[in-house]
Amino acid sequence: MAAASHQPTCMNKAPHYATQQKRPRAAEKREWGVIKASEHSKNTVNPIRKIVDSLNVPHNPEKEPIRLNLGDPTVLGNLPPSDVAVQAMEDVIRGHKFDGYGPAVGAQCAREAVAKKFTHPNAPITADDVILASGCSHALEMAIVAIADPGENILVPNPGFPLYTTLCKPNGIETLSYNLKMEHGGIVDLVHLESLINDKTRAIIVNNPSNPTGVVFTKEHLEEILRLAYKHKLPIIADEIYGDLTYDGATFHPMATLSPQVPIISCDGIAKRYLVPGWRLGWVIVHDRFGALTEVKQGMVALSMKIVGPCALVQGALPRILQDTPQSFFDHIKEVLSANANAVYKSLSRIPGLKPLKPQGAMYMMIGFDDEIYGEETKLMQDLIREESVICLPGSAFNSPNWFRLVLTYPLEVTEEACERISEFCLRRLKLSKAYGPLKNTEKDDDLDSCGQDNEDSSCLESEDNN
Amino acid sequence: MVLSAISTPGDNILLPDRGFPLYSTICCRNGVERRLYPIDLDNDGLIDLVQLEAKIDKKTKAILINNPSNPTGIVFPKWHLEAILRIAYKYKLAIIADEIYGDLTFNNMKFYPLATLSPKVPIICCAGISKQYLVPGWRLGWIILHNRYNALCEIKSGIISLAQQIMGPSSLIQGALPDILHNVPNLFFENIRNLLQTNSDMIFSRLIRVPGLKPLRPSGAMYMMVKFDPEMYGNESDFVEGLIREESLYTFSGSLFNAPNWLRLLLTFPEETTNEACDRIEMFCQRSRRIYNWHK
Repeated sequence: MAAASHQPTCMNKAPHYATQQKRPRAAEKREWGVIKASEHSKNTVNPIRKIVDSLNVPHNPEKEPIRLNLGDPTVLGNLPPSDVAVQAMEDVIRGHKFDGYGPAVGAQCAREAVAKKFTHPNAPITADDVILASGCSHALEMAIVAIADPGENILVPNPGFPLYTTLCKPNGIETLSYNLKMEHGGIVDLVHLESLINDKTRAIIVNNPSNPTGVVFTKEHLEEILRLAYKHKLPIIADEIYGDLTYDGATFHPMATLSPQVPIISCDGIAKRYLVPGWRLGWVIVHDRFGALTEVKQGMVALSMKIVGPCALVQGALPRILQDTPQSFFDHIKEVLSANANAVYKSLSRIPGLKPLKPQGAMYMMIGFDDEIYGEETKLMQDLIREESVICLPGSAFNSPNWFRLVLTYPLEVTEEACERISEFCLRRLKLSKAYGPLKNTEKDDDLDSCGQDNEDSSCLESEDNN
Repeated sequence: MVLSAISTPGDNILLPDRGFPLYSTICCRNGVERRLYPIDLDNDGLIDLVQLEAKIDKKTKAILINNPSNPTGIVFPKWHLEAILRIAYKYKLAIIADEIYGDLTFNNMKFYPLATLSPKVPIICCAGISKQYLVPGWRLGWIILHNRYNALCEIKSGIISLAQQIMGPSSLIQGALPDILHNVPNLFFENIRNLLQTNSDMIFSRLIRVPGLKPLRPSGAMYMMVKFDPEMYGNESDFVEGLIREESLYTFSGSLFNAPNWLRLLLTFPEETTNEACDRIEMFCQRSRRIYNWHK
């Protein structure tokens, strides 16, 4: 048998045979030790996990839990997927044309459907510019890993989706966080962003509409960001998973359609707008301006081979999902979001020491709080669970302490109930704070436990102008 | 996920030298040395265990065993698997068991999951529904960790961490999985095995009669390797390309599996198609032998 004469191109080392030089034999081990895990896996950390674990306190048994922490719109069943999507899946399953392997970059028909849906005169795309992914998270992973090497950095928003860091860190890529001006409508602090750019910066991640803030950037603001990117010749990774899930008059502008034109990798999927996060279907669209992304695109094509494409069934259903879902489906979601956003804003704006940030997109809302009145964040969230069975996500999960995030996808009555409970809870705290001074450094539970339920201090309800 | 969780640059993992190319791709990417152990294609397609053992050193992290094998279609007998386990036990190595073909076996060969045999070593089993249930596009697989001696607790943690990156396979398939695993009738698998058996027997009995061809009889998975004599037929790319050009017959070049001068054939086509394929291979070989020998 001839020795191996041809190596697949991925390999750059010859196979190792015993006929080559001998190495010292391993000693036979007496004991089984714990096998060491790779640094890569140890560095793959979800920063939310520790924070979520800290919320694992018992809720008030007399009150039904309201889980405003869960960023999954399907949880309560009040926002089911469109019949079009379900029917399309049923037909694909029975059609048996998508049981087999497809191209790693995704089936042609599915990529064409994405191109057709999202092509724009300012940003024309074809199927070749599209790579399908197992969810937008996977799309982001491919983009990040293809664009940066260990030791390089990517700019990410703060507060922002923690997954960006989870994806960068194990690959040795540093994340530099640029601030969003939470006191000024959650827009990007462009001066701060620019100050972070150095010669190892490879891309800027822009998430619009934003998780966790729910803010939708105006056209003008996006153009300012683009001008910065253009100036520093940096591509943008545009996390646009919430797309045109906007309400109350806000308009979504895909970054690739605006000027100045810079190279953009748009990451998107059906998870949020089509209410099927579990189906795991996302994509990257490569807007390869100036040929700047040619190598990166090849890199992403190579990376797509790792999992050989997302679930073929959902790929098969994708054309119909994208083309035939009626506008009324999206209008309904927006109505729910708007109603909830307005109810929360109205209710919590009245509470001294709370500062809700009014969202106009995505599915969330951030509420700022004064820690002089309400104390330390984790304790506050834990007490909210213990006393009112309301669970919110602490802002630290998004790198934004003294804020908490709640979701806007529940039925209005549930949201209103949650607001009532939060209000009552806060008013009790307010009373304590007035009685005992700033709670910022309070460690004991006793004071708070002694707080009664007769807390409707009408003077606190005088509305303050929080707009 | 398994290879990413277990691979530290500077370590090595033992992989079959005639094996699924993806193992190497992932190892390359993770900076761990691939150390290839020989599969003896010319005889019985079993592992040369002496040479496998010779490759182990202090930096060896794990041994990857693919059974039933892609591309050879060989199913390792119980004694062979136990011998592998003894080596793993001796050097305190975990085994990564790629058992995607599971009990898709024929020719009266039985599939033994490595984890069910002795001696017991820590085993990370990788499998899924693609092949046995004929739905490779659905993308549903799994890892089962047999955490003997608690040796895999860190790896398990690592795999769970890695799973966070893309948040799991499609939930729809996950939802269907209990039904799929519990309720698919045995007849479904028997039909597949019968087809594989029929095709395998047909190709073997016909191609063994062709001068310069040497098929390796498989007993599992979905493939068959056929060796050809380059003295008679020229080099591999000529052979493979010639089959395409002249007979519209597509085969997999053995080089893609590190086995030059071999072809891999698929055993999943309808009987008539396999029959037709054999006809075409025979005709091609007949012509090629004449032409090649005339030119020599």
